[in-house]
Amino acid sequence: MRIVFDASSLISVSQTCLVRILPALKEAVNAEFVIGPVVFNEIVSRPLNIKRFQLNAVRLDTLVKQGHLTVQELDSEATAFSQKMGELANNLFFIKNKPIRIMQQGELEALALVKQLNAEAIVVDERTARTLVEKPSALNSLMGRKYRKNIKENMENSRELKKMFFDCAVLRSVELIALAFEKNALAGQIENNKRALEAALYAAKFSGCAVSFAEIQNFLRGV
Amino acid sequence: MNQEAKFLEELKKAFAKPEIVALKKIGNNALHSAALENNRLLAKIALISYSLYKLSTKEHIVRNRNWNSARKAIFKNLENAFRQAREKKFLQVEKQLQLIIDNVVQTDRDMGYFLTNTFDKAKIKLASTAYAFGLSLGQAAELTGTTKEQLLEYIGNTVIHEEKLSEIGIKKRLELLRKKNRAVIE
Repeated sequence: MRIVFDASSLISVSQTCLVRILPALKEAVNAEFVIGPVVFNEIVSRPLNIKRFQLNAVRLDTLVKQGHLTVQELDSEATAFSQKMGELANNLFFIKNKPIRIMQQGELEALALVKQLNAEAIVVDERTARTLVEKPSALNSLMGRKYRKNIKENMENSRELKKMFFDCAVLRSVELIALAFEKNALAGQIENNKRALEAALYAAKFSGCAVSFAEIQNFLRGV
Repeated sequence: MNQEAKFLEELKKAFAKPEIVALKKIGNNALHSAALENNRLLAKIALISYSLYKLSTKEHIVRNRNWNSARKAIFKNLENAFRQAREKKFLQVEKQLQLIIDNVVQTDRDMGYFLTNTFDKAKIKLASTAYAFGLSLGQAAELTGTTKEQLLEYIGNTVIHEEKLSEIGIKKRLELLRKKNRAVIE
């Protein structure tokens, strides 16, 4: 199984000091964890020069060097796919006939990599890319509420995007943590019990993972 | 008058008085326009406005004997930026805005208490607003020039993610993954 990560999910995992669950989880579910070069630059090359985030970068770079995280270049087809998706997504919503640029290169690269590898899942902690893949109309409503203006959706682009989006599971770092708990992969890093699971899920939320308190509480009730 | 000149004129007036609430409002309004048009110049005006609002509310700064000269330097650069914006000399506007940013950063270095300066905090704060309005994390960070790390850390401590956009919870997402890869995950 191949799982692609965007920068936000790896930053959250690294911030919570839970990077070591990734090798254990990778082994437990027999997966390959993949990132693109833009994401590598965002999570390693750039923060290596920022004192405050240097440790995060070192942790993630170690995962790459140890082979737990693979950096995969985009082929020409995926590069074209990423550009096309960017054009469609950044011309999807309009206010007063002006398009709103919503997506950035790193996020588009991760989506294109899923397509290239025919990956089973993508891990995205930020909200917009995930919503764009799953339910673009929810973004339309959100922007309408926030800007208090009428948002025009380019339906042709919307249809084209739907055709481009693929059948893959969209996960966040909280799902990886939950999966690690199921597979006893938290052990070694922290205890593998409900209290540790709860602590790890909230840590991911406070590190920026787009999950609500209600979602975490609902999930924990069933554990 | 173009948008850049309009915002700079408002900012200049608000900073001269100073009108604290207006400075904050101008920052927010300029940010909305910047996000809608992916306009970095407007984003810089928003950041400057928000930073000046923050500096003007800090007692240890406004009571500092050097604040008055710092204010004068900032105001002079604001006037220059406004004049050039009105003449649509946007490269010059950019240079003037950078001078103001340098003024703000220097003021903070000389008079502030924190390692993270007011201008960097403004970048994070305004990027989080852009994210809350629907821009992706990367796009919001790029717009104001902050990093994804700082932005995520900030967002994680706000209520932005309490707003429900999806019905798919943790359990359901794991079920979807299992459907994709039953043999491995079960």
